[in-house]
Amino acid sequence: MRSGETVPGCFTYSMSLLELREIQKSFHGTRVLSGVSLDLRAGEVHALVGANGAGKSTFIKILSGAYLRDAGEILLDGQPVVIHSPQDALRLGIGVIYQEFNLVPELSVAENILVGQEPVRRLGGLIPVISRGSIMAEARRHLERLGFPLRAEQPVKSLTTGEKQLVEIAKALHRNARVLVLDEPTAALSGGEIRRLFGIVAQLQERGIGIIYISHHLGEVFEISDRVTVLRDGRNVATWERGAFSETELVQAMIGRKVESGERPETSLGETVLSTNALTGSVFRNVSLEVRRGEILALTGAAGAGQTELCWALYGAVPVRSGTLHLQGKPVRWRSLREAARAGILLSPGDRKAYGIIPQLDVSTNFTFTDLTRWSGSGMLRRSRVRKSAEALIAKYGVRCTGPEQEIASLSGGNQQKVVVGRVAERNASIYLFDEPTRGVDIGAREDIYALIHALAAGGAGVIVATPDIQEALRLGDRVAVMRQGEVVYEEPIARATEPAILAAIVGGSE
Amino acid sequence: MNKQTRSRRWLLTGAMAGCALCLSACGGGSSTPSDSSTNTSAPGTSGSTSYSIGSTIPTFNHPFFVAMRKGLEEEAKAQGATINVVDGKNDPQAQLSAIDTFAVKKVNALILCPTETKTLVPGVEKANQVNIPVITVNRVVDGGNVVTYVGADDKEGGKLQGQAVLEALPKGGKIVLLQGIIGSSPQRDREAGLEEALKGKSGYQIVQRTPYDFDRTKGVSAMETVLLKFPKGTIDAVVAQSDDGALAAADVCAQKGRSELKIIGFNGESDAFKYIDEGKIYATILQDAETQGREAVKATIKHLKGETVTNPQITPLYLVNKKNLKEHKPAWQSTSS
Amino acid sequence: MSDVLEKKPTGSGNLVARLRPFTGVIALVVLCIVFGSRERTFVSPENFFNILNAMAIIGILAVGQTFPLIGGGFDLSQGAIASFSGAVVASLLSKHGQPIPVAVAAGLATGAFLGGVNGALIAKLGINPFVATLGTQIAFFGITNVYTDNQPMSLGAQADAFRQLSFGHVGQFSYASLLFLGLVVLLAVVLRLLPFGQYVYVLGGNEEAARLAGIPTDRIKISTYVLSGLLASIGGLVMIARAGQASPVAGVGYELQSLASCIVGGIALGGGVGSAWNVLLGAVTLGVVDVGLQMAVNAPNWRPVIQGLIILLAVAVDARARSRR
Repeated sequence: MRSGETVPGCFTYSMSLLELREIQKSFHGTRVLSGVSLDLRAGEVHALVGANGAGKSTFIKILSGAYLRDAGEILLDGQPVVIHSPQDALRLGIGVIYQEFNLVPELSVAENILVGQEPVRRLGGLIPVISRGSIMAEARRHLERLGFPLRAEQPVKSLTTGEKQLVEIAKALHRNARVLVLDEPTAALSGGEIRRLFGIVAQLQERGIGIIYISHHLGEVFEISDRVTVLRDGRNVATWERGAFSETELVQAMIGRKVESGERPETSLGETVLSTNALTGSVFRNVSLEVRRGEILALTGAAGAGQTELCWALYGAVPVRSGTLHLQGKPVRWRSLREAARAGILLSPGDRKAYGIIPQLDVSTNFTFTDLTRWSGSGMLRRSRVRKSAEALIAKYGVRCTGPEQEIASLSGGNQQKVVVGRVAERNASIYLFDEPTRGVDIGAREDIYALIHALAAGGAGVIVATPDIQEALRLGDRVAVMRQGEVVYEEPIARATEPAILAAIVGGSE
Repeated sequence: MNKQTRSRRWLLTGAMAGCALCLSACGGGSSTPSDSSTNTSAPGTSGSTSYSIGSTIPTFNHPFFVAMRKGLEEEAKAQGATINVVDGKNDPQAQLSAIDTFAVKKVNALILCPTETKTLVPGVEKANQVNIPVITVNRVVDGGNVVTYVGADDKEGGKLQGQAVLEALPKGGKIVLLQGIIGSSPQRDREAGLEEALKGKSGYQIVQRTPYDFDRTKGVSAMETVLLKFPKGTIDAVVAQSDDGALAAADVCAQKGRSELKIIGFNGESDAFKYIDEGKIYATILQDAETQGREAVKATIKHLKGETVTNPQITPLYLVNKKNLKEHKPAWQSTSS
Repeated sequence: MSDVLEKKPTGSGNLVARLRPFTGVIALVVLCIVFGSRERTFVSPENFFNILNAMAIIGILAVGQTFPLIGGGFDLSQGAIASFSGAVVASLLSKHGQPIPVAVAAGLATGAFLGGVNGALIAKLGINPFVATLGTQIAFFGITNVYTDNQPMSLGAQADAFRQLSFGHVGQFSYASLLFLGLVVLLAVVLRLLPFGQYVYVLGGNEEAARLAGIPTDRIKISTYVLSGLLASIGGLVMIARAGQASPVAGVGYELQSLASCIVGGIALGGGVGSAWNVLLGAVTLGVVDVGLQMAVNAPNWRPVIQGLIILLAVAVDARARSRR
């Protein structure tokens, strides 16, 4: 039975809620989608996976009305529909929750949920008047129905990332979304928030809402999806039902080649290069750590537990209240970040949008701007040298772009991240601090970055990697430490570290 | 973290309050509250307490008014009175507002140099209403009760400029007039005087009038436009209503090779004197702003003491050219000389 | 991942959060105390009305400036619009002998229209507000010069009647200050009660979110500039009533004062925040500073310096408080 046809008397639960057929899209002559199809059933979680640049975001933007497709059809409930603008998509009940939320920070939760749909009374039958009372009441009702733990009057700017996401979901549901697209929803969430999100996803499934779930975290994909569609180079590669595939098959389909699970090269550890004693800042307390030459310390924990702040404090970007910091045996107190860099400690920041890239400038500049003296001769910047180096760096780090002059903002998130990491890795330091180095980076590139970090350690530097991903921590670290609520609550060499113990330390219970 | 924020916030608010309190310390010597507010409703009747004078002049930024202000402030100090001069910023609204404030403050007298003749009439009337005597200096208002006008007779000045033209161009000629701020009494009256001096004299004609707002930079562009419009031989003289215009015109003429034009200015600043000496400017009308300020204060205090004051009090104007240059002193030192 | 420099609010620090809305009033009170201690007439009721009247024109402009500000832009052409609208009214009254209501209507229509020009340039052509309204400021002042032929224009036979706008009183309140206060109330109504007001906040808070929610962002944006121009023309009416004539050089710099008024009162330059209360507070504060300095500081050369410092301090305190959330 073709989807869209009904046989009278038959229960059509398998009829597709949403179907995209043979979607094609090109930008400036480059083919980005060559006939991609996907169908979504009511109440289904359909995961969409693919490496960066495979076409996922373009596909979703066509669905959400941000882009116009070149060819192909979109059908809702079996009927072809026209989506030429975001408003069209909204009206049809398609809601997209992007990674960058579209919320108004100064307004309240209620005002954001009801934005554009505020209830109005007509004074004297003529003058439309917004009643704030009804906005609050309506929002509260809605939140109660959904069971979201949000206060309607709270200003959105004071919410955590996870809570903001809930507001976005509530907003979409208020517009009677029947299809919800979640784009990397767990990228910025803590463990608890992730579980809460999954609970909500289950709720939505029960109501018959179809969910397209985009994620790099294959573990999640395994856990909640009913089907998985893999995209590669703008094409469908596979669509599997739950249970019909393994992680290896999935990864292979995504990157098209076999993946070696990287073997850690053996490194001998040298002297202590960095040590802290009872270091206390505004979020972290009493941190005493040591990193030796050639060693990778993996720091993990929930969001807000202090890993990021600690890295920033070690780098000197954020003030430290008390405690000591020793670099190569000498006590330090940075007066400026340049001092820190010269002393041999470098930071690759986690939030690339805010701190990592200069979006309006090109790839070449973003790779090189922190250390332009390397390409200067007699005080003047030699652009030809910069260009050559940039080309080499692009190749070395596998950055997918049209060239060094491409504006970095138009690269995919993962490729941007490679530039940020590469920029730091190219410079000499005795301590490298990597805050979420693989954020938004796909499987294939992740391996490259892991190799790079190992190489830096092998070269004799000490490395601290802060990551929320336990698997990654176990993969990279010679030692693993866990932070919770600002304190280091667990620290073990890799041989003795186990995932359950780490999880327990993060969450705070006992094993 | 919160403690830090809190303490910083208090520090900032405290700094603000402290800064504000510092205002109390700085600028000493002004009238103590008892002076202005315990005066009886008819100010000027008490003889021994020092007088509080409110004043507003068109701008603080022009050397002419800097000199006037000097005269006002120094004479007040010499007479043991306090004077509060407010910058009009060339905005009649600001002057009207200042007069309102003076009324609240109950000053003993108001010395006004108006930015515009008509607009400031309500201000004068307001002062009349609350029994604050008004003395105008250097420029007149078109209404209200004024105790006296201290200043030059701008119309006389305009006539003197006309006289200079007649001397400079004995056979007649075409004249360009560079005007000051349109609507101010100097602009109006000097122009009227100039026209009267040339009335009936055949062979003399004002062919162009261009405002330059008493501003030297604007004078330069105004003059450049004039030279483009009037090539050699079509005009003979340039009359500017202040030395800014004359000096600007002289500079432009020197640059463009039009030194045959006879240029006449007004005010008598030292640069003008220099240019007259060098032959770049033909003549100027000397007006002493500082003296005007002093005389205004003198007249005011006389009036407050109950003595009669003549109205108007015309300060002298002198036609200064190369011949009598040595007999006169410039009205003020231009910064460039 | 939690942003390092973004602090989640904890339960404590409530005193600070509660105090924050009042820093402006506290500052105002401090200033009044300081000025009053040096000059007793400063704190008289007469002076209260004097100050209100003195800043009424800028206050009216500030009410208009609020709309583009909250919407994320600003209007640098208000002074020019006020000047030109005044010239239009004056010319209709004096040269064309029109009755007052007609002349006033024409003046207001002029202001709204010029505001619409601003809005079109910014919303439809995508020119940024600074460049657009700076350009129109120059153009509108130029048009005023041409229209008035560089001469002040009288108000004709009905001058006295029209000038009641400046001279008239209700009790101790001048008509102009009542007009200002009334407009502040109207502003509050529009911002809080009308859907349009809500949309301006959304537009300023996150334009993309507004667009995605189906809000007609172009239309809203243009409307904010139309309102700014309309209120500028109302200010222009008061200006010519006070001056008794329309002058081509009137209104210079007024838009900067109206902007300063809003910002000192607490409306953020980035948009998305602000209320009628901010406008009232800011205008009164600037008025207090202006008159206070005239009355109480007898070193006239220092007045602009102190004025600038106070404004900077007010903005800095507000910015600091804002960034600490």
